[in-house]
Amino acid sequence: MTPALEVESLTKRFGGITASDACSFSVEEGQLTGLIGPNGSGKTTVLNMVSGHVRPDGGSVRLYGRRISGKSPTVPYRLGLARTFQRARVFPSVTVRQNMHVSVPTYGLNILKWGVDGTVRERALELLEDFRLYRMADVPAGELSYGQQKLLEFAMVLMSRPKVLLLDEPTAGVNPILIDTMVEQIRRLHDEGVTIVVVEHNMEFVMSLCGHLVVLNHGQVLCEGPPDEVQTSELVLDAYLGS
Amino acid sequence: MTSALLEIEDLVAGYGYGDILRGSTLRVEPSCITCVIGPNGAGKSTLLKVVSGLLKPRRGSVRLGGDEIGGRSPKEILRRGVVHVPQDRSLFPSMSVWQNVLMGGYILRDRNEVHRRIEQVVEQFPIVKEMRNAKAGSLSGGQQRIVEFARAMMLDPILVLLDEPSLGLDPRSRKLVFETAVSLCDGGRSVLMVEQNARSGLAVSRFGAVMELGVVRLTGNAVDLLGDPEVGRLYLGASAAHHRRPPHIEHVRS
Repeated sequence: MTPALEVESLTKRFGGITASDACSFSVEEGQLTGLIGPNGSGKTTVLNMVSGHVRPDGGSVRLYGRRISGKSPTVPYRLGLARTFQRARVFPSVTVRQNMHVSVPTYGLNILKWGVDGTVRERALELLEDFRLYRMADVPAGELSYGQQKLLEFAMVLMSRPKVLLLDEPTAGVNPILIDTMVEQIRRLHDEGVTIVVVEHNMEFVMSLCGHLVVLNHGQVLCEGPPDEVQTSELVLDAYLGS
Repeated sequence: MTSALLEIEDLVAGYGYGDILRGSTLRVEPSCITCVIGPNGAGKSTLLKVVSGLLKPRRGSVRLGGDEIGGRSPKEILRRGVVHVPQDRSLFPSMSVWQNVLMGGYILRDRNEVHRRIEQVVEQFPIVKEMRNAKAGSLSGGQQRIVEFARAMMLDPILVLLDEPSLGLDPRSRKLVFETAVSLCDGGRSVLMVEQNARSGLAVSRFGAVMELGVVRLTGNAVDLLGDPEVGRLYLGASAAHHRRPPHIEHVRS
């Protein structure tokens, strides 16, 4: 079977620094994969190349066998690949509710012309309720705190019903109680068959959630495998977790 | 009872139309860390901004060593020894580590004073010397945090405000950053820290405070808050390993 996502020899240099150095791994359909590694090991760079936000210097990315590397982010997005960012990207001057509405890919900015149907409106409110953003629904998103913007972005991604989802540090700056809600949402998506790649430093979160881990160090894959194996690997303890 | 270093009383502040802080009251004792935890949007970062003068209070008072500082300019508050290390990475990425740390002494008039200070800072933070010519933007997230702390020390402050120091850091750097936060308290200095990594934050602090919806709901010894099952249930969360849904917290819809 073709993997949902294949990353092959992906390379990116910024000035003199090789952020991603012939990085290769693949993600099976429906798998929940954790991408971990020290700060500066190239995790976000890899994610950026997969989603089309950074053009690789070498190598390729395939989504369901189709080459998507080097294309603009709209190409993978239309093919069902959505992502979140470390520092949430929301539309600051429109309301939280409107941010949710424009995230439905078939709507996009057309909601301004067409208006929103009842199911979308309900789904948006349900998600806002889950993430304790309900009372902020009519506030411009730019007025939300750092953590709330991350929650909003996560909720927005859920509006798009993606097939492949990339999450860049979803729990950073988020309150522990809401992390539990997030875990539940990610589990639900996983049960629905969504392929998920999550970059995270919260080890409890990663270890309990992911079925497969890929560890990066200096832009290369240091090791990969199931969490309990990775957790006890000498290489990983030394480079990342610390003894 | 000894007098507090910082006394915040009935503070109201916000951006635009709404109030984020709705009557917050908090004491910060000398020579220790006080950790503020609470849900996203509770007003934790806003509280720090009012203390450092980046945001003017609409009501209430902020007293530092008995003097009212609420509503004063950031520069004046800085002169009184309050420094703020913000949430997002705040180093100038294309300047060297050394230059960034020097910037911490920007308001010092006396050049000799600046040199004297940076010598002391280097003693506490060897990384500043080791990586002095490296561009700050090329450092790892954890290293950047430590350099931000070093920069904050240039004014030999009496109160350091840390906004989510562990944000986005890998497990190793996180440990180092918390250890460094503890070391900031040497010599009678206090730290007022906001942390979403609530358990780790409280673990290195003497006092803790829980904020919700713009008010300080609970204060106490950090150890007691950590051990309180109710606080655990409502604010610290189950460990991600138990994936039950936490009981719903009653939220006011306004």
